[in-house]
Amino acid sequence: MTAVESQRLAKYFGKTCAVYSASFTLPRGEFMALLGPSGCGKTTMLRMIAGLEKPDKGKIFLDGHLVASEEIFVPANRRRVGMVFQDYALFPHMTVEKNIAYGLVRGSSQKVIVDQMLELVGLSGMKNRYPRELSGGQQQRVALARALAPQPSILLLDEPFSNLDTALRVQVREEVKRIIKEAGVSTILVTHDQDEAMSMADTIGVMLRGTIEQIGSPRILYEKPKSLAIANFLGETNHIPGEAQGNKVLTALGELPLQTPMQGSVEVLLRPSDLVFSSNGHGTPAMVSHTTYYGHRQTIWVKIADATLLKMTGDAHTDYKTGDTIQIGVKHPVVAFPRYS
Amino acid sequence: MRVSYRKNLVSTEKLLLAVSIPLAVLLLFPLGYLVIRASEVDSQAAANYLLRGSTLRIIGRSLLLVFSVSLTACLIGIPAAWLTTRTTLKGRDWWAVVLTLPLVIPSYVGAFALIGAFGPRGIFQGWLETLFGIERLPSIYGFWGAWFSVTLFSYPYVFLSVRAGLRGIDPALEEASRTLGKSALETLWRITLPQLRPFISAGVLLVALYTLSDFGAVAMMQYNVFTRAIYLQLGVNLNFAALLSLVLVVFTVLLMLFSIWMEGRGQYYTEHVHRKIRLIPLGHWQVAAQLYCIFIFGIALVGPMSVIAYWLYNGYVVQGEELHNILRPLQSSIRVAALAAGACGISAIPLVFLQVRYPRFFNQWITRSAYLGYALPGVVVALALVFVGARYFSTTLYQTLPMLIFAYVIRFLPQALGPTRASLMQVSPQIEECGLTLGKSRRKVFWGITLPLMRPGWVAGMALVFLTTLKELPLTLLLAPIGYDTLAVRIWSATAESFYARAAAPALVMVIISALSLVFVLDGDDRR
Repeated sequence: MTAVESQRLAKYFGKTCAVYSASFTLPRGEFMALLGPSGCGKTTMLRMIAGLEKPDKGKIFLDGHLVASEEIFVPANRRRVGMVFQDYALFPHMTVEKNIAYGLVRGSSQKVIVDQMLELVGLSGMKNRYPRELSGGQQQRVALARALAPQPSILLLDEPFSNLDTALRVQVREEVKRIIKEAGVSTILVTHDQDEAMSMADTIGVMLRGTIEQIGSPRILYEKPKSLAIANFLGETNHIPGEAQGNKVLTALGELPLQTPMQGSVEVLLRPSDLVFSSNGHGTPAMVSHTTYYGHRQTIWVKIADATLLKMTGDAHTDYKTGDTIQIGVKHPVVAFPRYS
Repeated sequence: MRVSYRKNLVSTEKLLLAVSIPLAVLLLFPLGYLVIRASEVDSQAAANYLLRGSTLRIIGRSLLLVFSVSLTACLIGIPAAWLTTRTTLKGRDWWAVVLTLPLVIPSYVGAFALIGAFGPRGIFQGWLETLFGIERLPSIYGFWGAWFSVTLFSYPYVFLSVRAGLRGIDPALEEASRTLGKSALETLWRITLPQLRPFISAGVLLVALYTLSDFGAVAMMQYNVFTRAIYLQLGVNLNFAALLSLVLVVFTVLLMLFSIWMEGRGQYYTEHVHRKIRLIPLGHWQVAAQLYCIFIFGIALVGPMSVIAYWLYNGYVVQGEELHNILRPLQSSIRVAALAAGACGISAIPLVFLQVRYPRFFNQWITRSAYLGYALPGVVVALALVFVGARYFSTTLYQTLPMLIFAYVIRFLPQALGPTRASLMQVSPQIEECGLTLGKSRRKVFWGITLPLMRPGWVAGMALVFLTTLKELPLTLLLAPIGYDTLAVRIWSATAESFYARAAAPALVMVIISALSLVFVLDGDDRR
C-alpha cells in the first residue's frame, strides 16, 4: 500500500516551470526526504501534495485515493495531511494546548489526544504557554504535535530545522526522528541539507531543476549516484578525466578498477575519503598545496603531475607542510560518468 | 596648529531645555487653565449641570454617533479590505486607491455636499419643486445626516489599517489551518480575524477619535454632540463649556486607553512575510463584489463631487457668481497656514533634539507633552484660548493672528514632530562626531551636516501642518480676527445660509488641498 504516489507532476508559475514531470511513490510508514538546492521545486512539490498548490499536470494519490489531477482537486482541509511549516506557523493568539487541539474534532477525546501529544513531544508542562514564550526547539515540537494530533495519513515537513542554530539542530533532529518513528506516520521531509536528509530518511529523492533525478537509500545515493550533479550535491567531490576500458579506467592516478564496466571518455568521481596515502611506493606522487584544519580531521589539497588540484581527507595528527611530496592512491573501485563533448 | 581649549560653558542639553521647557509649559497652559476654571465651578452646580437631562443626552448622542459610525466603518472597510487584498477582484489595485480617496473630503465639505443635494433649496428639492411642486423634503439634519457624512469620509481609516494587516499576516498561518482540516470560512473566522484584531481596533480608534472630535459635519447637520454643544455653550456660560470640554477630553483619553488595552491583549507578531498569498477565486461572486465597490465609490466620492460640480456650474455659469470672490479667502487661508507651518517647524527642532539626542526620562516627557494636541479636539483648544484670551488679553491678543497661530501650533505641532523626529533618528550621532573631530564647532556641524540631512522629514512635517491648517474649521471659526475669511469659514457660512453656489468653489479647492495632504500622509506611512 502506498501512502503517496505522484505521477508526472508539473507546476508553472507564469512562464517559469517550478516542477516538471516529477514522479515517485512512498510506501506507507516510510520516511522520505526530498533533497535539493533552493529553487529546485521541492517546496512546491510538498505544497502540491498538501493541497496548497494546484498542479498544472499530473496526478497525486494519497492512500490510493486520487486527490489531484487535471479534473479533480481536493483542497488541503480534506486531505488529512499534517504539515510542519518552515517558521512553524503556530497561531500566536492561542496557547500550546489550543494550537494542538485546533485540528481535532470538539469532544471528550480532544483533551486526551492533546495530553498524549504533549507527552509524545515532551512538553506536558507547557500547555498554557503562548508560542512566543517558547524556545525555537519547543515551538518546533508544538508544530509537530499539532500536525500529528489529527492522525494524518501523511506528515509533511518543510525545511523544519532551518530556523534552529547549528548546535540545537542535530539534537532536535534526533528528537523529531524518534517522535515520527513512534507515531509511525508516513513522512516527507523537504530539505537542502544533505546531512539532515541522510541521517533522518529511509529514502532520499534528489530534486534538481524541478524534477526528481534519483530516488534511493542514502547509501545507494552516496555510493552510486546517477550523475556528477547528484554526487556534488551529496558531499564533497573530486573529478578527473579518464579513458574507460571495460572494468578499468586510465587516469592521472594510474589504472583504477571500475564499479560497472564502461567504454570511452569518462569523468571519474573521487570522494575526498576515497583517496589514501600509500606508503608502499605504488602510489602516484603528489605535492601538498595547502591544508584546512578542522580539529577532528583536516582537508589536504594536493597537486598531481598534470596540475589538477585534489582534496583528500586526512587524520588531523600529521602536520603537512606546503611543498611536501607524498604518494596517493584510491581505496575502492570507482564510479565514472560518460563525458559528453 | 591652533588648538582652542575653550570649554563648552553652557551644554547643548541645557540650551535645549531652556527653550523646550517654556515651550512645553506654553503648550500645556490652555488645557491647565481649562481644568482650573472648570474646578472653580461650584461642585454642586457642576454635578447638577453634568447630570441634567440635556447634558446626558449630549453624552448619549456622542456615544451613539461614535458607536454607529465605527460599526458602519467596519462594515464597509473590512470587506472592502479583504476583497482588495485576498480575492481575484478585478482591478483590485485600482479599487485600493479609489476606495481610499474619500479620505480627501473633509467632513464639513461632505456635509455641504449632502446638504447641497438633499437640504432645503438643495438639488433634489429644486427638481421636485419644479416637477411636482413639493416644497419640503424629509429633513436630513440630525443623527442620520451626521452619521452618513462622518462615516463616508472616515471609513478609509479602517480600510487602510485592515489592508495593512491582511498583507502582513504570515500566509503560512492560514495554510496551517487548512492542512489541519478547516474550511476557508472557518480559517477566516478563527485565524485571520483574530490576527486582524489589532489592525481593526487601530482603524476603529482613528474613526472614533475623528467622530468624537469632528466639528464641521455635526455642526452643519445640527446634531448636538459634544463639539457642537461646546460651541453653543460658548455664548452662554464659559464655565459650563469648560466642564463639557473636560468630559470630552476624558472620553477621548478613555478611547485611546481602550485601544491600547485591546492591542495589548494577546501577542501578535507578523515579523516575516515571504510568499505571495494565494488569492481566493471569486467566481460568479465577481459581479456582486464589483457592484459593492462601485456602490461605495458612488456614494462616498462620485456623489459629493457631482454635487460640488453642480453648484460650481450653477454658481458661475447660471447665477454669474464672480470667481475672484474666493481669492481673498484663499489668500487668508494660505497666509495662516504658512505661518502655522513655520511656527511648528521652528518649535519642533529643539523638542526633537532634546528627545532624540538626550533621551532622559525627564526630557522625553517634555517632548511628549507637546503631543497633547493629538488628544484635544479643535473645539476644546479653541475654547481654552477663548477663555484665556477674553479674560486676560481681550485688548491685545484675543482674536488676533498670533493667537490663532498659537492655537494651530498646540493642535498641529505633533504632525511636525513625527516626521522631524524620524528624520533626526536617521542621522547617526557618529556623523556629527565625525564633523566635530574634523575641527568644526557644534553650531557649524548643526547647520552644515545635521540640518541638511534631516531636512526632508522636517520639511515634510511642515508641509503636513500647512495642509492640515488649510482644512481646519473650528479654531479658525472661533479665533480668527473678525472679518478674517478663510476657505473653511467661507464654506461653513455659505452652507449655513444655503448659498450653496458660493460654497462650491472653496469646497473644490479644499478637496484638492486634502488630496495633497493625503499623498503626504500615505507616502510617510510607506517610508515608515
